[in-house]
Amino acid sequence: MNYNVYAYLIYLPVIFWITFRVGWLFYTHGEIYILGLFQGNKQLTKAVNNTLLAGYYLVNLGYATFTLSFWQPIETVQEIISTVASNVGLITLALALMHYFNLAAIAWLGKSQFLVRKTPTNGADGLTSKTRNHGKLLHS
Amino acid sequence: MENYFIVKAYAVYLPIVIGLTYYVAHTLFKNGKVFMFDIFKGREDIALATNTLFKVGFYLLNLGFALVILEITDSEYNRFDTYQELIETLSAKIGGFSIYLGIMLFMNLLLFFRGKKKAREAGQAPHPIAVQPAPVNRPPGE
Repeated sequence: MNYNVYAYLIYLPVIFWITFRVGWLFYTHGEIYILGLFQGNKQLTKAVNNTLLAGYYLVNLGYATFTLSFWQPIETVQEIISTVASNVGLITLALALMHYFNLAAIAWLGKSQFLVRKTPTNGADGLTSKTRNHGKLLHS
Repeated sequence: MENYFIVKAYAVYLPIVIGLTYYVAHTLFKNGKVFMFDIFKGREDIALATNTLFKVGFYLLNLGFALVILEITDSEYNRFDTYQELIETLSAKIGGFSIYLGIMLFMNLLLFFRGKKKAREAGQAPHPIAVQPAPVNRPPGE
């Protein structure tokens, strides 16, 4: 007899709780950045945010469930704890790295003019950052 | 074979690292708010959002690391079966984790100071993300 089923019963709720909790935090607190990137276009922001959340859930829950099939037989009580911990820890670390990567991506998008369409500027102040900020959004 | 010394070690290790991470994150980001308000002058919502996102990242990174280094192994020839070994292993793990946490704390503090410096360098003008509507927004810690 092995303890795998008990380990799954601990692992799955823990990892699902972490994923949902973190995803919800990103969803609610990240909205303001997307709103800034899309220059206050609320409809587009909501659409993009919802899509990002769905993608995040699919990738993370999918991966968390998928790795379950590769677990070795768990024979002892200490192995339940260590296996669950190392799996949860790895996924959490991956989440952290993805999170920092996302922050860097937001920083990059904010600095670059990637989402901005240049409009003809009028006058000599066309090069100041103030007028640069008045470029129109591609999608609006 | 069951080894309850290892289970005991986990039972001591887990609450300590979780408590330590909570304490450090709580202290850091309670004080981090002051920096964020300074960086994003006049925009409370973006300052709080940035603070929360950094807090989540801090928790994920450090708890993830704490869980990954948890495992204690023993074998037929090298049993983990004395209180001496238990205390020595735990002190190595918890002490190492504390040092790691301290380094992370200072790195985050460094980020805050860098953001503050950049905000000041931008002159009297507020941080780009603080003026709406503006496509140029740099998040946090930049």
